[in-house]
Amino acid sequence: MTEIVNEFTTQVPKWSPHLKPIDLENATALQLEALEVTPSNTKISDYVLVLAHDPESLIHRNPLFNTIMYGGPGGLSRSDRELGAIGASEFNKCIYCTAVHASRYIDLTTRTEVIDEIFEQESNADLPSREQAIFNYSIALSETPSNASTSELNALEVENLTDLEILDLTLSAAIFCWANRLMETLGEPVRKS
Amino acid sequence: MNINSVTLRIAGVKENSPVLSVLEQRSEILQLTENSHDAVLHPHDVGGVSYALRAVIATRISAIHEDELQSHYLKLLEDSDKSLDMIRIFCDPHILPNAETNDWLRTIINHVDLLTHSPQMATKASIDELKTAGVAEADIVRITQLVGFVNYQVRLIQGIRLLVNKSNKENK
Repeated sequence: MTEIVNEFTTQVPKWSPHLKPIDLENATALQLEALEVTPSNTKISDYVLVLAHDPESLIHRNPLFNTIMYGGPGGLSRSDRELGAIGASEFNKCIYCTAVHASRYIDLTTRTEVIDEIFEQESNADLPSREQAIFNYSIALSETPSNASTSELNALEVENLTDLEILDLTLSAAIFCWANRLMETLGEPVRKS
Repeated sequence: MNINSVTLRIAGVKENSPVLSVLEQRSEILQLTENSHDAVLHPHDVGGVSYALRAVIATRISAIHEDELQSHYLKLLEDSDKSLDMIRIFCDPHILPNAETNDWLRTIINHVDLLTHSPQMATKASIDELKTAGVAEADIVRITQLVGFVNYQVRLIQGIRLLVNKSNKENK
């Protein structure tokens, strides 16, 4: 029997879809374009194959996500973008997204203690001041209704984040308020057998 | 860069805003955001989810967060020419489906609310309910992408508006 993962972890679970992923053999031209299928890129995750049911949104969302997380020039560091993603994903209790981005954060920074504290105390995590400012802004932005205010903004400025870095952080937290809602409803994280 | 895009216009970005030079460095992202807006609100292939229902859902979500984005989506709703009475009431996030709401619409509105307020509570049963009520698999993805997008957009607007207000103050 498959076991659903309910606790935060850095062991990335398998994502098991509730909807049937599209069948590449019968995909439309637009679906293939949205999936960026090429002869050298035929391994596509079930998650993306589920999203391909709506190719018109996927075709923009794929590059949007990648540019927000990895694009430039300059701006917020990769690891701080990951921390913004973790803040939103932790707030929304998205086990899958948190696992992926917490493990990337650790790969980039080796700072397991930051992730341990977030897993333990969740939105109340007590972090070093720079990480705290980033995490708090991401959480406040993720609330419903969204609640980021000048006080969270000022805390980022105290840590010398530039306007461009604050924009990048806003984008990484906001895109996860979208991604979490896809991951948490269209499928679920299960233990890898 | 298009400062008349939905996101920048509603965030209050003006031609003389000092924050423009920062936004220009992320113009590709802002363009992809606008493209995503059009793809979830006005796709070529609507499937089973009409422009009007899409506008209702976007209004319902944005109403929780802020007035100006809500007005934008209400305007989109008025521009779509469907008979609206049955679905229009759901623009108001306080109105919940009741016994008179058909199963198809009721499960969609419930899914929108669950996804917006407590996505962590979603289970396979939520998706099975949609399927049982006759919502096609592709339409479930369309609706989920729409809800996800508006949840992203309201937060991006809030972050940009904070930067706009800050730079206005600094330049006074």
